Amino acid sequence: MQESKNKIHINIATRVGIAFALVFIAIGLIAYQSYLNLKEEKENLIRIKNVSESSANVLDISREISDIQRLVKVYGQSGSNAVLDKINENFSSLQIKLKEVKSSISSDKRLAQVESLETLLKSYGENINSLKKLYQIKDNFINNEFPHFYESGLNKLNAMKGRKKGFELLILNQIILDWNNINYNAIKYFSRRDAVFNENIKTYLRHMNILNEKNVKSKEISELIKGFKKVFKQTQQANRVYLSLVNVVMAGTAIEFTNLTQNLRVGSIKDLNNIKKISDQKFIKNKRDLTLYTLISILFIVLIAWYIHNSITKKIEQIASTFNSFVEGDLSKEIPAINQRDEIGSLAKAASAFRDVSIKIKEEQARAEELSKSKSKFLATMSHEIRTPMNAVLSSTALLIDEIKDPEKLELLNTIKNSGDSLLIIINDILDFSKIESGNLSIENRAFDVKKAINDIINLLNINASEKGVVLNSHINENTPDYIMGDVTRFKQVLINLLGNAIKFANSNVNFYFDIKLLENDFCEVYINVEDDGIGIAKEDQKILFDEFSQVDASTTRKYGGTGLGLAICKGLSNAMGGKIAVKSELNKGSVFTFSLKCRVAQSVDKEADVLAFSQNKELNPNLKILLAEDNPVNQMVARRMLQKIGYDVTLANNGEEAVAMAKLNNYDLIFMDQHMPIMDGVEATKNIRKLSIKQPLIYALTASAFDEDRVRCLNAGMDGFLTKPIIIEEIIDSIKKCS
Amino acid sequence: MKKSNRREFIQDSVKVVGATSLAIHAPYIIAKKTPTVRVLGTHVTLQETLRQKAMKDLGIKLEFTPAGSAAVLQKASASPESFDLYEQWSDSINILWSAGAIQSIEIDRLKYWKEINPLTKTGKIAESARIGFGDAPYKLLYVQDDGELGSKETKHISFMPYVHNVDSFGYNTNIIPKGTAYTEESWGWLLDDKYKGKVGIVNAPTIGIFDLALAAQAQGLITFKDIGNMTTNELDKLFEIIKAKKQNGHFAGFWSSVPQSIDFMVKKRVSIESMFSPGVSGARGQGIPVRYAAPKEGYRAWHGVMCLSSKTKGHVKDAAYEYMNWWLSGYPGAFIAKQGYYISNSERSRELLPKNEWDYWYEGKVANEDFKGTDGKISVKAGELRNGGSYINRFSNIAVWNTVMDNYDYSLDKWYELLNS
Repeated sequence: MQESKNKIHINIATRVGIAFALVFIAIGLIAYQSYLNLKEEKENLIRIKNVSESSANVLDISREISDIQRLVKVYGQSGSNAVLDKINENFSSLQIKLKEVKSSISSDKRLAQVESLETLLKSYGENINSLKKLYQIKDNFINNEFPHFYESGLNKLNAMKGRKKGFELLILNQIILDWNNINYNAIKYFSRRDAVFNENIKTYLRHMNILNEKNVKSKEISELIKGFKKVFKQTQQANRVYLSLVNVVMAGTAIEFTNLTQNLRVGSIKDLNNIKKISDQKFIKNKRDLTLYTLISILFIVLIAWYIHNSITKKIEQIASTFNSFVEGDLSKEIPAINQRDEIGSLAKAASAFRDVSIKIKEEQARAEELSKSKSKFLATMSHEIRTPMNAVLSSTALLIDEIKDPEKLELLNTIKNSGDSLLIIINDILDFSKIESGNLSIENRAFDVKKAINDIINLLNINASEKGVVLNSHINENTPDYIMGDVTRFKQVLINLLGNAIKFANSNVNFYFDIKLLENDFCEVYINVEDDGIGIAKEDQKILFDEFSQVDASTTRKYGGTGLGLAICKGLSNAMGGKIAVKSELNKGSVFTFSLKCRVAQSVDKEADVLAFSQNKELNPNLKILLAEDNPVNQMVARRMLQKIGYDVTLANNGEEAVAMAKLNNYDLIFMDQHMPIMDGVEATKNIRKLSIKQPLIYALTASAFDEDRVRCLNAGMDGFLTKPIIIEEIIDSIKKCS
Repeated sequence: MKKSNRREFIQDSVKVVGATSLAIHAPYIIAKKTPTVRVLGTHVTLQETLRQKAMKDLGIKLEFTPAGSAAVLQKASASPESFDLYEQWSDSINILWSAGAIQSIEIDRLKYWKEINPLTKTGKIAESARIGFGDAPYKLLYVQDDGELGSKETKHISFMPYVHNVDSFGYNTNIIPKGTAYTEESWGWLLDDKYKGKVGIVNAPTIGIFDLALAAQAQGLITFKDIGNMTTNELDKLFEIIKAKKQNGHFAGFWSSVPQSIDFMVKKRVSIESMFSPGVSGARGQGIPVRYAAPKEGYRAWHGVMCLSSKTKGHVKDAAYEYMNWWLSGYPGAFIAKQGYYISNSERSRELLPKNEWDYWYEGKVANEDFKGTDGKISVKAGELRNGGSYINRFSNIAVWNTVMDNYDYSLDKWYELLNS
């Protein structure tokens, strides 16, 4: 990530910590939100409870004031203190209930309504307080003052009767009648409250007054009339005041109170519905919010996970994959996050350091390989360069031996030949060893006749043994498979070395044992034991026996000859073939060398081997046309003379180009083709010849390069065989036989 | 738009109580020197501005106890010791006088008596004016030699005449289309089925009964021999009609005080109701376009009475006389003119009112600018005309005075039946 360059560097542990803290905070916030929602829900429930309670109380209040108003009316009939007590009791309960309602109310609007109710109730309470007093006043006037005044008036008028006579008595009786009528109408008026009775009273009073003033002229009577008017008015007013209190003021207050309680109830129900509605809306909103928060949190967590994956896991994976590539040898891979200033950066830097070290190691390796290659190349070149003149020396000597008859000269020539042969062996050993050492040794895996290979070697070395006076006893288990898979040449080489050594060091006997043990799945194990009765090898010397140039001591070399490379080469070849080689020896008692090899059992041998086997029985065809392509005049001469010796005249070509041109014109049966030639080499020339539409000749390589890759190149180019220099006459004969 | 309603009224009451306790807790010396006059009355005249102004002008303490008219009357007649001055309407006089709750006022102690116009003294504001049914105040003004009240001039009077007005009903012109004065507007509207459930009536038999009677008569449901003094039969018939209406849900409520009547209108509990002038101003101040009708049947008139408690004496009585004189000294008349009331000696207030306001309120001319009411809110908008015309015009069209009828006792029972029906 580029931004990491500009960022203050925070290590991964801290970053992951922060990420988890953020997740924790997010979850915490959601939890807190849920808590708030629950709290709100609870508050709403309490509010709903309060409102419904107050609603119920309001209903009670409304009923209660109607009860009181009814009781007030009852009190008006009876004036009973018990009723008044009940009124006061109900009123107190009403006040308490209203207070309860007030305490459970939270909305301003409802509070204002309750306050209005309180005001009404306060004035209603004052009314109740004056109710008794006004009732008593009214009651006193109607049932006491007024009747007493009437009674006393009547008594006075009756008393007057005793003092009056005749017309005056008649008038007085008339006045008493008026007085009674006045009383009657007054009682009617107070009970019926009809103004007609009041009018009647006025009429009777007027009549009474007229009768008195005209006839009786009693001051007492006019005082009575005046007094009555006053008492009547007082009684009337007391009654009116009381009625006005109960019928208008209290009734009006109660009615308005009922109205307001109804409004309050309706309002409360509205509030309740509102609260429920708001609560529902809040619930939906809260649910929605919570879902949103949860989704945001999930997104957030996913982002964090993505971030951790991208910036940590993925990078670690990338670095791990980079390390894998490095380990597998691909050092070109780019290292990610090398600039990051955290643990991943450190890992990347470690990868970078690893790469630097690996590059150095690889360079060292390449250098070492290069060194080894150039060493092998040097050896190959050297052996080629030595073989070419050796070829000439040995071939020439062999030709000379046939011609020289002088025993002295012949002995000298034989010495030259033997020394040359020894030199060639040494050169071949050195070449083999260098191949083993440089890892250039390649092992074939082809079916071969193992018993025939053994017999070839036994026959070959029997000559050596008899020359030395040593008896070579061969013990071959005939009940073994004939064919096995392997490299026959290298197999033979190991045998030659082991048997050669045994013969070299044996006093009189060499025992050879051969056996094959069958294993599962067509596998088998080949056992070879070579025993001699020679000088033996000391225990401490056995350890270095298979090291190069390790003849036990210098005197051995002088006495027995050899390069000291034989066993080292055996060991190398054995290892290369997957075999084991070991020694058991006792000083002065002789040695036992064992060679074992695990390989597959084969059913038959290859065609090449067949052809080879077939050709061996053939006679030489004297009419063959043979071309020799060779640039070196010495080699040209040697080869030509060898072929002349067996009866063939050859045509010469100096390079590949000439060879191709000549092959085009003449139908050659056989071409010996030198590998390394100027202008066009043997391989190229063979390829060209194979392209020609002629009767195709057999082409044999003739080369001083004894390396396997040369052989492969030649065969791939279309050659039929491969002969190494110095040329051995038997090999040439073999190739001619194939052609016949 | 401030909500002024019962709540404000309650607050005012609290202020009054607060002022009371302030007065109680005032230093002893001041309390001793400055007498406290306790005034019982209605919200119509018992206003804080007036109280403060009077206390400042007179150097006395005033204690206002405003309440509904019926409650005030009831309290005054039952407990004369609970007040010094009583301010209400002329229909209280018969009750208070016969109850012995008030004492006569000496004309000689009233500074501006001579300035008081003939409406109270003779019953007629102009020659052509109709006196109207019921207790015209002049019939109850003078204390006669026999202790009765009558129109014969004496040295003593039962009340000091001061504030007066003609009442009708108010209606919300947002709901009920505006009618023309004296031709379309009719008391009959109060019982019109169109306004069923939206009608308010004042809870006072001496007043509300006339509103209902005028309405029933205008609807042609009943006729009265003397609407100012109904017979029991007439009352029976009237209440049968009204009760049937009530049971049918015609009435939204019966109000007992002016703030309550404003509340009814402002809260849309009613569209049309019996109203007093300050109620109309108050409702308008709160944005309700209330038109105070000029009914073709004539107004229900009332006259404010200031009465002296039978129990008040000494320096408190002197202070009470000072307060009575203050009321006729100009300022209060000008003040209450702003809520549509007239004062008995209007010339003294005329000097204190801007001409355009005087022209609007007293002369019935178009308002040439917005006028504020006593509460400081705009109650008259420029271009408005006072419904019913000038002072003279309005007081020449009186159908009936607020009256305590002979059958008042009977009407109380009927009223109770009505309320509980």
